[in-house]
Amino acid sequence: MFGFGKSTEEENWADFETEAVPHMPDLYRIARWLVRGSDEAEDLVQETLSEALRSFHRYERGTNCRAWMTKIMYHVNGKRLRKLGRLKIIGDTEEMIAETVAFEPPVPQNVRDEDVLGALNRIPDSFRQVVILADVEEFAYREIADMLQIPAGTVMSRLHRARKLLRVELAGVARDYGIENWSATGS
Amino acid sequence: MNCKDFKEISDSYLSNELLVETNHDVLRHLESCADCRGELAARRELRSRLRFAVMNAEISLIDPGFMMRTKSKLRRQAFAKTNSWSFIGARSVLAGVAAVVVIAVAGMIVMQNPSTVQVAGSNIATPVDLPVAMTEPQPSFQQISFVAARKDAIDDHKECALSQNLPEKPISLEKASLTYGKANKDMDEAVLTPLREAFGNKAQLLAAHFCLINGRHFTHVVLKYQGRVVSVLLAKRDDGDGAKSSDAISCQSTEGLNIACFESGRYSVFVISDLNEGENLTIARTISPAVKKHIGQAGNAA
Repeated sequence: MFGFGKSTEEENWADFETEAVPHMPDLYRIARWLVRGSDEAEDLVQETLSEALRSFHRYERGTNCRAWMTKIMYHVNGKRLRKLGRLKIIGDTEEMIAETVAFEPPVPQNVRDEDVLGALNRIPDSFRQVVILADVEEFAYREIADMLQIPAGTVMSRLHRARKLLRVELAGVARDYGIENWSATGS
Repeated sequence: MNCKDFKEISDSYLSNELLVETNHDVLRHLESCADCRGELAARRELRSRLRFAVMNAEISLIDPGFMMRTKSKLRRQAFAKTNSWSFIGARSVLAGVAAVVVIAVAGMIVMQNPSTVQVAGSNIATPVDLPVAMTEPQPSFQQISFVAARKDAIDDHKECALSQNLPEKPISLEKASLTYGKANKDMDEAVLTPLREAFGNKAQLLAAHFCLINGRHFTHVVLKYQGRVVSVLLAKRDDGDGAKSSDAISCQSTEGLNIACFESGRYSVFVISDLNEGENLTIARTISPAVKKHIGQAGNAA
């Protein structure tokens, strides 16, 4: 009978439903590699979407909505970690681990997806995040810098080190399997 | 540019983050340096494998039930504000209307009978129609995961290729191409030709059709290779992500079967057999370029 505000709110929801909601599987995938378990990932995704809905008027149409929401997710997660006292300041140690890996081995062939995932799990969290955002989700360096609140140069160097560590991990797996077939020469 | 320079920027080159001029320098260097071409190929392969592995890992896949529940909650959140605004707004207007009616009625009564002033009770406190039906929304999309598709492909290999025990009779690829996509037409040739070129008569075509299992359609080419039955199954992805293509081929073993999978356009392609993993992977590698080309051409023709 009285539909005050109906059209505006319905339009907003329709926009959000079209622009933002379809990215839910992507957000969950990123969350799953960001937090510890599926429940925590679901909580994070829900909180992120709720926050995105509240702030949707700030989203600029035509820009990368997935990147915008991922940035919100990192922000929400940062708040949660601070509350739980689990926020980790990335110290020099992890950077040093990567620096000490001087040799970058070739990429072995015939390793399984499980091996790739295992290697990804074994590298330090800060490197894993950058690899996921750059190589899996294919965000631009400046988008990643914005999400992680670090300079773009740090994104580049972290990504370089992360890829190097991954190759070291995978080379270890290949050696365990006795795989001799290397796809390319190392450095 | 020398090899050392290239190594320093190869990651940025891969991520497409270099300036145009620097990109040209890289390309010039790659033309003349086989070592760096190999290095780049290795880096690209790692990136591609990583992406494929993470995208298709079971833990990366969202629960469709969670998606529906979340969407429903968000919708409620979106309209919660509207409802309260509408209610407050409607109440104010209704109060105003009521006041006008009361004054008008009172005025008329007073005018008709100046000695008595009666105010009739109003019946206008009708509940406001809320602008939104708060029913559970139907999901406008549903992610059917890669893992589910792979499971269905395995079932299809067992029930169709090995047991010929499908509940519904398959249709020809020719017929399927009219309704389910042009890529179906001549898919058997796209699969068989490179195998024949590579292995001669070791690879034989047993059947090619379009079949249905567990509610999912497959373009199904059944082969005999070294005496073993091999299924090549193509299923349309419905993750809404559009066309994808990757050089990566993933491998998995389950229930005595080896499964190699790659993506092309909007399709996931599964090669399933009880050959050993290397042989099964070889078949996938051999057919992959021709199948991708065939899908690409069918897409362009559509």
